[in-house]
Amino acid sequence: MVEKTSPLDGLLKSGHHGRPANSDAPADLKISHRTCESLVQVTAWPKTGKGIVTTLEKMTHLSLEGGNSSPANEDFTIMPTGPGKYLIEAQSGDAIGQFQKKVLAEKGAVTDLTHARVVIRISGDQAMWVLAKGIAIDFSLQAFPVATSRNSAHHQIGLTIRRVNENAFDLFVFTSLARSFWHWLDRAAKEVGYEIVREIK
Amino acid sequence: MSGYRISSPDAEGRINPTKLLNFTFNGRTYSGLEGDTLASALLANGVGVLGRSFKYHRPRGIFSAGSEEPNALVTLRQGGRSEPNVKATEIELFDGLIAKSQNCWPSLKFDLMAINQLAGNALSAGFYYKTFMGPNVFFNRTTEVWWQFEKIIRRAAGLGKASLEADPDIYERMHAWCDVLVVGGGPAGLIAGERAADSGAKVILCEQMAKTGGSLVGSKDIIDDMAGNEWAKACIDRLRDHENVRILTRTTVQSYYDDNLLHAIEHVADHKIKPDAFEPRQRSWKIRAKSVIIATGAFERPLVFSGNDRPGIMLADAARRYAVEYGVLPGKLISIFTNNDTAYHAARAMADCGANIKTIIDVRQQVSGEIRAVAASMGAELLVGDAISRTSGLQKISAIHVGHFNADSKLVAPSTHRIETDCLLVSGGWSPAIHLTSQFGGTPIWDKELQAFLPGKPLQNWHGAGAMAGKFGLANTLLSANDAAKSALKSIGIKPKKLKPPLVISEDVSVQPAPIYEIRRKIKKGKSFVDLQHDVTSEDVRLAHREGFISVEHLKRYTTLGMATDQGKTSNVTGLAIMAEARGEAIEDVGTTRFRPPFTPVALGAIAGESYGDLKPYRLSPMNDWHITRGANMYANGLWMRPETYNRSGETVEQAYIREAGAVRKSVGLVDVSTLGKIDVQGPDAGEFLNRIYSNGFAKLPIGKARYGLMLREDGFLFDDGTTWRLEENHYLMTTTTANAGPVMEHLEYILDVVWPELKVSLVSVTDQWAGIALAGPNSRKTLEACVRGTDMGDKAFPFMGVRDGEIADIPVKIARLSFSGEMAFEVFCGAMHGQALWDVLMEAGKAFDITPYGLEALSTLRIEKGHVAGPELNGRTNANDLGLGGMVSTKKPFIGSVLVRREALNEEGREQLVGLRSLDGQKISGGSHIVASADQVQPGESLGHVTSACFSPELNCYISLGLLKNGRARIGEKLHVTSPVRGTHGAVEIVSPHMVDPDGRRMYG
Repeated sequence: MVEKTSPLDGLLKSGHHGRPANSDAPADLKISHRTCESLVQVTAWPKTGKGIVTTLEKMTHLSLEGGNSSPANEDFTIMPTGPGKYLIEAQSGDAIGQFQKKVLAEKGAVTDLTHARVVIRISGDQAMWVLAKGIAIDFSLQAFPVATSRNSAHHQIGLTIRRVNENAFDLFVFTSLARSFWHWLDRAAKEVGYEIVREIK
Repeated sequence: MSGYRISSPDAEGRINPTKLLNFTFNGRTYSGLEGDTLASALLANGVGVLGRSFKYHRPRGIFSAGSEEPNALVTLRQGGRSEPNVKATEIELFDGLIAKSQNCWPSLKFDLMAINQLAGNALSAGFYYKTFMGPNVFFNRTTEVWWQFEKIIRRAAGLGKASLEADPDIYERMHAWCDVLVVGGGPAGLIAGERAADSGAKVILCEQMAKTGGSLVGSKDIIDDMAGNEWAKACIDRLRDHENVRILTRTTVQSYYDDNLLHAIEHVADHKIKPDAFEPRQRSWKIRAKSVIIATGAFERPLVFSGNDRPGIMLADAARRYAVEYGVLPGKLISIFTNNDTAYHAARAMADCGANIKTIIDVRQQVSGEIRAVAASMGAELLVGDAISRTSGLQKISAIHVGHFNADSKLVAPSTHRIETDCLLVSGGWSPAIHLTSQFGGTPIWDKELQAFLPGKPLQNWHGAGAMAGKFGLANTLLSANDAAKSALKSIGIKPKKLKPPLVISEDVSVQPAPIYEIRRKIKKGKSFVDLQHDVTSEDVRLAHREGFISVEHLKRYTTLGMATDQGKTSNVTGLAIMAEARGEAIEDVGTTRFRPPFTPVALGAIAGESYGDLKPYRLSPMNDWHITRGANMYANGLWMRPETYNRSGETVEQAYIREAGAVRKSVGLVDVSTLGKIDVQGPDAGEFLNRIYSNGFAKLPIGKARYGLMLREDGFLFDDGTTWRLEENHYLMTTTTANAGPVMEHLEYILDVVWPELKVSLVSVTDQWAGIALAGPNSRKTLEACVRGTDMGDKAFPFMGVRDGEIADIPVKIARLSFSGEMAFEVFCGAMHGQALWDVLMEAGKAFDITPYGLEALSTLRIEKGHVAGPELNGRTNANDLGLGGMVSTKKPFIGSVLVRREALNEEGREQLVGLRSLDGQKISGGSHIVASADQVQPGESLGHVTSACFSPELNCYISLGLLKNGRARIGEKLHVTSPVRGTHGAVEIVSPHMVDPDGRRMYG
């Protein structure tokens, strides 16, 4: 299989950017990006929501607690994006086939979105400050707990945001708009200074 | 005004006496102290005149010490950072500051336009309307005269000029949430904020100045055995220690909107010569607060009398603040004119700083013994029952003329005293700063005792504290703030923590003024200004009344009272009082205008925030970089950036698209169609859903086939078109036009959610999932055959409108045999992140056929030649029959638009119909040109239709177009003209069938 080419490849250059970091205190804010091995949207029909939840829980070994709860394990991350709608990132490249097998047409639909989003991870104490510049979401822990997700928009760019831990967020950005979004994020983050890294665990 | 710096204020104020700063005003260098405002620094340097007035160009000085300033407007900084109309009273001094006066020429001291003062009543309210507007016939050519003089008048009357250079600084936006937003960092705001924070609420506290403390700064009040200033410092330090508190200084809350959304501007770096690297200059905050405590204080207002605008006349409390907060006295020989007690206490605070208070003129007929004692303690002469009849002085005040005031007639007798003075302090009472509550619609309530408007009933969850709520005096202020915090917390379900009320030692001063606003002279002489910023006089208010503009809303608009950068903070109540008197009614019966956002002027940069450089986001195809590398002219198509043409060296756009389109017709070309809208439609009811959405039948579309579909609006007009591919039994891929992708998705979601929620259908936008490449031309099949695996590309195995899965260089692809160009053509879709790889393979495979990438211009040329419609024809006013697509409107099934498409009006004779046009004289045909019968360019006659899309046809070797022509199909063969008065073109055309190339489709069908 041909390697995927992200619109952000080559744009996020390793190293420090923006306000110079103090030598004693390196940049707290770190940014990385990735493409998904598999990303699918599972949609339930009007009266099959519960059945879909059961199927997804069995398949992923995750518990869907409802609301904005966005559970994850090593293989799957589930983000509810609306009533009966789930965006699921899978670490396996053939996840779409697995989901199509399990989510039969009587219960719902499975749509492959692997190429439709790139994921930007932003991490650090200043992450909330930077994101709040453009995204009208309350990023406080009380309002946006760890392992929950939100759909929002910045500057007409829709995105799904998942809180990975207290100070790290995954931003699922539309592929065609990824550079435009990055253009904003770069500007917003330069005030505090940031470091591009290969991967943030 | 002969201001000067005193050694240092007794209590700690706002300045740092040890840090000297240099600045320039009108080209002259001065020095000030860290913490000064530009106004306090200029006062300290004895600069009394800062600018010229709006209309009459009268010299004006510093009138206040804050955001209410009507006079002291300057242009700050230079070049791209230049900012006009900034209040000197709000500018924090910094080293290297450059400011200059406005609205004067050639100099501040000698302003030629001061001649306007001689025009007297000619420049009164309604001047423009009366003088220059009217009919423009015969000898009465007033409107024409207005046009001639408008530029000169606008130049003469005005404020500062904005820079034409780009602002180099960064502006940002910020979103924030809190339980309690406290507006104001004075004593009320501090104690309310602390109570809320101690109770566990998430608090944001905004203070417009650099330092919190408000009226406690420099005061001699004692709170809990601490000097007021020290108490304020300790309080803010405690607040800073709270994790649940954000303190925003230099931040003005500007606006109050629905759902407790407030907007504030943080002046992040306005106190620096330029922002630090990557630092924004200003930050625009949108704060969503569960509850709001408004502790914005009150504004002192002046008295209106003849000559009340001379430099050297200042609000009494402003002068106090300059003395105690900045260590500056505004004059050496100070007089006071008041209708209330607060001015006495301001005078005494100044006297304590060394001011020479010479005379106090009190317009009231009686004052208390205590107040007399205050005057006596300063050694000031006290004139009770008197008033100022006029002032004198050239550039600034030099004397006041005082006579007896008759409380019944409100007239001042001819002056009996001439008092030399270089500074006159005035006080006409206090107006609570109710702007935020008024903005949201709470009708203010008139308080007779305070002679002021108080905030009305809260329409949202806000709670007033301190002077803003009419609670004056430190003890009252702290009590009301405590109550406000308590009710704010309770309103959001937080139990207020018990707080020991602070012990306050403070002088109790009555703020109740006598209801006197204007001092009139029997003989009308000199101007008495109500609104200093817009040069609105008391006579203007009475003129408005005489001319029928008696509503406060009309008064505002007719006279411009209360407009401009100060929004009438010192003038509104006085103007209303004068109008009320003219109407013979009480002020409360006359009413008040509503304050509008923002509270103070907001820079456009702060509103734009990060949206500079590119005002909207852009969408890029996966092959975007390739297009740019190959020299494509990229242009915006909605949010998408698309290649227009790939120009070779020396080629014009026209030459490039003719070459590209010609190459497609001759061999093969490829075009990036990733921008097409793509919607994944799945579900057991997907076929039924599509059948109801499209006007033509979709129920029987076989798997592995695509169909062109027409989508109508409910009103029967065409909405969009595109192909939908049936991939599996219950799985379709719909394509839409690039421009309509969003609206179509919204339309479908609405229909599914609201009209047919019972259908089991899933709609997901997959525009970004798929890269799309169209291969067109007689060699397109051969090109694909060279690289596709897993599918038979032969004509029979892969017929027209067929859809197949395949692989190209290990990339899974979906191929549909579709044609927009009229040639043998295929659309190849793959995962977006494989798009560039696929493009490269196809380019390589097509090398043998001299494959040519083509852009939008060639794409458009090919479809115009073929007569395929696109956005210019699907313009919202056409129906299927107009475009020759009537056969695609089913009469056998219901669908969206099926009822209204049968309306008589959509089927009547004379509707414009799609036709082709061929230039007969070699002239270019421009889109938008009118189709006319006459060969006369000057009198072309009525428009019979218009050109929708035009190009040069390489196939037909002439300019052609598509157009909409009345009864067009019946006129094929006629010779008409196309005319464009805007472009000055007029040419002969022949009306032809829109299908100008390969009308029977042999090329397309293969």
